[in-house]
Amino acid sequence: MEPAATYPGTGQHDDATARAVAAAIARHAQRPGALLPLLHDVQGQLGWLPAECVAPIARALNLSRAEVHGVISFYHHFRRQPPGRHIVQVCQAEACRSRGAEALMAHARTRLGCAERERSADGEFTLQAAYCLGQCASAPAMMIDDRVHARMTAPQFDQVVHALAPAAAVSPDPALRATLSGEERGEGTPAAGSETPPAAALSPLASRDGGLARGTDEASGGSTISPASACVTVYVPRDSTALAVGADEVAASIHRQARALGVPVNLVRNGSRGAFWLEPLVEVDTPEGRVGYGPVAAEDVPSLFATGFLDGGAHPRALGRVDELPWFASQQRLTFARIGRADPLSIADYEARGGFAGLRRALAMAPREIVAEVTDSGLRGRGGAAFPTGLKWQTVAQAPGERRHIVCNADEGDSGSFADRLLMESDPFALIEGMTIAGFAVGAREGWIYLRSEYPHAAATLEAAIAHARARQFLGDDVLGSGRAFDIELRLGAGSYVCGEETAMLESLEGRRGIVRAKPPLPAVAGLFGQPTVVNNVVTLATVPLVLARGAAFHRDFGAGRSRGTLALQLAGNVARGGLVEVAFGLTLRQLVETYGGGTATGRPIRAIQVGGPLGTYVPPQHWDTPLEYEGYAALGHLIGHGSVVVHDDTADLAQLARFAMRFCAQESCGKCTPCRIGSVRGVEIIDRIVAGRDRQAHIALLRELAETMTHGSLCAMGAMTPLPVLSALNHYPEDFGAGVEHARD
Amino acid sequence: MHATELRRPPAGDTDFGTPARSGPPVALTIDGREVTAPAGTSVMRAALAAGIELPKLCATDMLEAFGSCRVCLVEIDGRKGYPASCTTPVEAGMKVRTRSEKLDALRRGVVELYLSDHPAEDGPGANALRVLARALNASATRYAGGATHLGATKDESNPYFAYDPARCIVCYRCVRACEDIQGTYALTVAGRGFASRIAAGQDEPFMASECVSCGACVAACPTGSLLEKSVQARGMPAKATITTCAYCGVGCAFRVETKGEGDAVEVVRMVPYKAGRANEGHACVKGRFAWGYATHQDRVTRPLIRERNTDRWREAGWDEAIAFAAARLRAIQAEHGRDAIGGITSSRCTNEETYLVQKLVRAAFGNNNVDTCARVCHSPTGYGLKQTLGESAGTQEFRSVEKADVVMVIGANPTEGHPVFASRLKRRLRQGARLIVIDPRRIDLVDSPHVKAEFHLQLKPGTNVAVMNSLAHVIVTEGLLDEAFVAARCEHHAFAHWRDFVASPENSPEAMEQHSGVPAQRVRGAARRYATAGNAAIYYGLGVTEHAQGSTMVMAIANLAMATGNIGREGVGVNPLRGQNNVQGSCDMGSFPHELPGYRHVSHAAVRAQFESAWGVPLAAEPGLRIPNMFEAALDGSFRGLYCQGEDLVQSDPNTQHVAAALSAMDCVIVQDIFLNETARYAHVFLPGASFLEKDGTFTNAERRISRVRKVIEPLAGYADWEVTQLLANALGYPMRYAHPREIMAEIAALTPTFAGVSYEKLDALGSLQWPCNDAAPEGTPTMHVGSFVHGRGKFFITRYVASDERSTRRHPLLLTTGRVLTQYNVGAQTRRTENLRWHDEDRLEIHPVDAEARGIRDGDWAGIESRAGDTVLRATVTDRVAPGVVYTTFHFPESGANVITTDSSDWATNCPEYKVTAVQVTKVTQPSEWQQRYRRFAAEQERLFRQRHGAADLPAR
Repeated sequence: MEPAATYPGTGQHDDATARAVAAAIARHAQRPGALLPLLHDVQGQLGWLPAECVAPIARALNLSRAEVHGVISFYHHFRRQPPGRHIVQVCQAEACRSRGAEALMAHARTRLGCAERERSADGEFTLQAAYCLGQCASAPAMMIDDRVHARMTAPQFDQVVHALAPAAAVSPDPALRATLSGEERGEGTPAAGSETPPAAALSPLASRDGGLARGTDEASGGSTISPASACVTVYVPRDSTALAVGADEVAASIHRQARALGVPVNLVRNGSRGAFWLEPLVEVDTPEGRVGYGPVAAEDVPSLFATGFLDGGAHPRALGRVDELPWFASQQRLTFARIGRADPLSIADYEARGGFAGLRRALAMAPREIVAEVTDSGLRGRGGAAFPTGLKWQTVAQAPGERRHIVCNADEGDSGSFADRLLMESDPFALIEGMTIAGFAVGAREGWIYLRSEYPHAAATLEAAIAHARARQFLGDDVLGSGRAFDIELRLGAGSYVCGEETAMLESLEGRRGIVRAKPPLPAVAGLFGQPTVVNNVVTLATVPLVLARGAAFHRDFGAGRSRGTLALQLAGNVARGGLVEVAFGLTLRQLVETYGGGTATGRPIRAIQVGGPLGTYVPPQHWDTPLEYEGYAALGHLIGHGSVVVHDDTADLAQLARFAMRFCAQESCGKCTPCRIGSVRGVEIIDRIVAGRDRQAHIALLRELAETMTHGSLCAMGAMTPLPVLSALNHYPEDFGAGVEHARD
Repeated sequence: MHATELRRPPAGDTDFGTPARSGPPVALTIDGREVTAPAGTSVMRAALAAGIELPKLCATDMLEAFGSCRVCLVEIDGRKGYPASCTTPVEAGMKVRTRSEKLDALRRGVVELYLSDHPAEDGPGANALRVLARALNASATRYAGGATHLGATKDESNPYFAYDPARCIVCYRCVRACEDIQGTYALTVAGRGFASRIAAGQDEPFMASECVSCGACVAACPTGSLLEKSVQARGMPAKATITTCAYCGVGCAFRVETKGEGDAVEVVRMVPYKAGRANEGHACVKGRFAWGYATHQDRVTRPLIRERNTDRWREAGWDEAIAFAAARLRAIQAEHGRDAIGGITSSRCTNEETYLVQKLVRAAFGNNNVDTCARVCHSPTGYGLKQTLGESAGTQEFRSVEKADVVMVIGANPTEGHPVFASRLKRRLRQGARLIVIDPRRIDLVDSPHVKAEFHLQLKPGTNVAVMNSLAHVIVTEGLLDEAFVAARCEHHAFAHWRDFVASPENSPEAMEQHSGVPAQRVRGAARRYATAGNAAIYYGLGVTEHAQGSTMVMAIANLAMATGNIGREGVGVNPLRGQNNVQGSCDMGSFPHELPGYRHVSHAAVRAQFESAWGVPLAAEPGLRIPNMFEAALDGSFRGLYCQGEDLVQSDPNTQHVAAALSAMDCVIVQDIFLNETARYAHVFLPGASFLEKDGTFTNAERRISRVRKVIEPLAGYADWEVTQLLANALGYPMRYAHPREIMAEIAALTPTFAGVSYEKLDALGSLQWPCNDAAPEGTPTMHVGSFVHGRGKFFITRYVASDERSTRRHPLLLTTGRVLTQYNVGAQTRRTENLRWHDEDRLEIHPVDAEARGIRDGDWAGIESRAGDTVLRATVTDRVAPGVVYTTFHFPESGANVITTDSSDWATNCPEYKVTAVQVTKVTQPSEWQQRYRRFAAEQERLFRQRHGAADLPAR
């Protein structure tokens, strides 16, 4: 196949480019800050952004070509070259590194015969590195087009690739060919059979239009195989982690098996409960409650039926009553109380579990009373900065401005973290409700969710949830007949970690390069489009309904010190039982990784734990018994950040992880300020010299000086905090920087 | 730092790092010093005001703070970390430290990072980084061996400056300057992180991008990454002189930076001067870069004389040439009478020179046959504004636009013609001011990055008055008048008369639509916007004046402004955008045949007596001939001698063939110019002129601002223009004994009430002065008509729409209108002799696709254009910028013959030619027109007569 011919805009298809651009302009040009949505639209149609699309887009948006070009070239998601038919993104962030991400990438390079950001020789695949796909508890992960794959191995990689391009010119390596030669060949791929619905048909992501967005409120998740009233309800999760480890195949298999056996089954696609180590976690409604089986593979399904799982029968995968599993029972699920229990897009289920009670209460309150309630609750921003939410809202409410905005920071770029994704995929109405309450509290009519483009599944879920909420008057010009207006627009990022920084995010939302703004002014005073703006994280906003519904005191009663409420810890990387652990502040790291995590997945001793994302420190063993709360952790030089906890076993090379931290900063720096733009590149170079043993002491001193410059000289937290993982590695694991370390890879 | 080597660094060039603010005073302490600064001021600026200079790379007071370079960090009591002083506003009681070991270490750390991706040796140009590195004792050696951009390719596509990515520190100053100052948005940063580099357009050569070469990016660059090629070639300058640009009527102040002494003085570059109030540090491609003509090899530096204008030229000494000219003029007068000769002053020359020419004509020639090239551009402005508002000048200063809420641009194309004002205007529009454009052509302001006209009234050429009357109709009939203003400030009777007139149904937008082609609803919308948006300002250009109804239209504009109370404060007003550098000044100086300096009629005995007493001669009480009358009289045989200073009549006046015939009929044509221009081809005497770099004097720009022109190099031909006029006067027996232009200005001030307070001393002290400048306004008058009109009450005039004689007919179905482009200036004598040709090397005919298709004309084809006056041929540009039925061209190249087509139709009041409306037919042709072929032969012959001139290489220049 001639790849050039398959994509318009390469010369012979200029008309197609013009049509695509005109259509995208018609759809988006009138929106404020329209450039990113417009570019996403064009790239969605053409696969890339040919140079000739720039001028008409610039004209339509009253911009210059340079501005449009500057934006396109800033975001890694936007392509200026035609890609292969499939985009393969292999996650290279820390959690996946702890489980062999580098080896997987090396394998991908060999298998596809191309380097990163290049196209395979046959034009089928474009290979890219990704920095976190939110599957950190199921590492290593990759995404092909919009489909996520987790717990990947090299053979699995080959299988997936082969299924997508069986006629690809690149032949599998001999070992793989042997694997694929047997009758297993083709197993697990969407088989075409007249009776068997392809697994993809049940996947919400099978098609953006035909999947989630089409789902109606009550019935969307249900797939009633038989109309018989006595049918048993079976839950198979559909959040992206479950899908990434084969939930669709499991669902398809249950469907197939039930039909074959003539057993009526009501198959509900619920969200995940966050115990990713158990995914796919199949639950069955029994008179004794919901019993679980997990992790279930498609090939386990016949035996599940055979052992009577529909009645809660015994099976090697049986877990008993899910709610009573100690892993869940010992948590204090407040914000995440609802996740995984129902179809995430069912408003009825949401309300049945207490949803919208907070909003209804807020509607009866004066705005300042709402702000006071949130202030009293002690809620602090869960995105990392831990700024008191009520105080921020008060600032926005009091700032002069014609319009105010609520911006939800859903750019969950921190590797190791997935709480936002889980919430958006499993309980999206909680976020919508929280944003609406925030809007009423500060007098904003417009809400924006800035979601990273690496989360297509969350995007589809949110789009559908927003549409449902609007249809039911939970959003719109007259929310629940109150006469007050609030609505939400979902915007996608385009592959830029720094856009998780609030001012860069605002720039991006306004359709510009994601360059960090200097503060002051604070976004609360002059934020989106220069207007007073609340910027809150997903978990923060999703906690607000609870605060309103149960009262400030209820929330405040959880926690330790000035850290009130619960902490959504994300147990990730090399850990046996990874997932979301929501507990009141105060748990220790050791309790977390041992009690909940169950040690490493590899069974080797834990060596280092990075807390707080790629800008967080590697917490050494002597600090593992410190309670997790903001002030105590800060006192030790660590941070809790967004609550990600990435475990590394004793094979980890902390010098290489330090190098990775610098390299990540270099990859993701917006380039505005010098310490970050140049310093991160120099950081990588210095670490390479240190590990190569070149003038080691001088270079270690230089690295420390550089860290000072970056820490105190950088404009935003990206450059200022990158030294944290680097120095923690250097300080606590100096032996890794010693002689004899092999040359840097990459 | 090279700048310190300047002899006298002008105070106006201090860079405070961030823009000034005007909030209430805030007291704080910086390094133990008590400092007070307006609220909103940055710590950086407040510190400098207290004499404490913080290091800075990304900060400049021309731009809002950005905070990227991180070398201006400070410590503030009670604050975490090290805030950047440029982005931190002052707060009451703040205690700031700008120096500490820690701060030095941080700055050194940052600078070392910069140096690690920077050439070890800087070339010429700004080098703020190197200076800072030296001060901090920083070097890049510890980081050596890493990734750099040192091998990146330079962009040398622009003829005037180059971009060297290796020296770029990605401070965004150039990008921000292009956006915030110039408003073109041609630059961006492409890529991100370490890969970030400046990109023009879509990462293409500067010349292929939308870059308009204004030089703002170059001026903004702190490291010489963007650098003038002239600096690269000649090295850094040693001396700077402040002067005024000699191009358009914006009158930008420049630093002329030179090296060398005496005859070896060489201009290295021209840099916009920040303290210049007309431009405040901004410039355009012409003033900034296109000054090379001043030393072009085409400069004629020896006087030339010849008996007949078909003879070879002969080089002569000054004395001989002047004596020859004087003898001829006196001979003509002896034979044909005192009135048989006249003079033409130039809007390109200084006020002093213009004053002297009219004085020469009135006092030495003994008649009032003096006119100026303003005749053919803004004479209706002088007339119309005098009638209505009482003074022949615009009412505002340029800065006033910063307070406008709605701006109406009529018949002007500021981004091309007045680019530096356009940048101010666009900035205001980006801040939210509304824009109404009245123009037959879709000029860039209508729709360009970050600028969009709310209303574009795309009228048919020649129907300005129809549209203006219908705007007035809406305002009057919808009750949008400012009754209080009119009652307090205007003549009631005239107003009532006017109100009844515009309210009549014939002036309604619906009725006028058939003439103007502008949909009535759009006119109504624009009228409402203009009358109700707050401060409304009108800016207009030659698209208003150069019409048969030019004066009517100027009065209609004044009427509208008065009726809505938009006169007499900042943000409003009537603002003519003057074409040439000194149009305003040449009019002020008494260049018109009926007016003595200060717009006082020659028939006024008391005024005349004043001048007679000062000049020691009796003066004629009757107005003299206007330019077109001179031509007609020449063809009649009654006008036979002309002294023409600094104007190219043949190329710039309408109906070229008529002009040429008139000149050919004269016995003595004396041309004084820096080049042997088109008019000189008909001359008997050529007196070499001096460029603006070669003389002292003053220019008065469109905002009545009188600014100094300062001599930088000695006149190439030995004399400044005022000296030549003086020589001629003396040769004619009328003594002039000025030793310096300041003495001429002293005489002007003594004789002209509006200039009474003007002197070179005051100009040197204050930088510039806006007239009226007298005892009542010793520092000048930025805004006119505050409180009351100059002559008491504003006067409304009836402005009945009369269709132009130039209208589309079967024979001439299209209407030709003319304009100019950014890179060429007027007749192009200067800009055609610069690299500006790279942007525009021929005049083309814009034609709408529909009209083009009907004629089988494709883009780039030769198009023949024929009017009742003549015909010419240009290459076609097929574009929908013009409406169907309208064609458009520029007149920068003599061989284009744009004025061969324009006719003798002219303004009823002032004879200003109707350049903007000519009925034409356009056809596809294959060869130049007959005129063009004739022109080529004639030009070649005249070239030969010059080239083969009787040389006298040994003649002394002076």
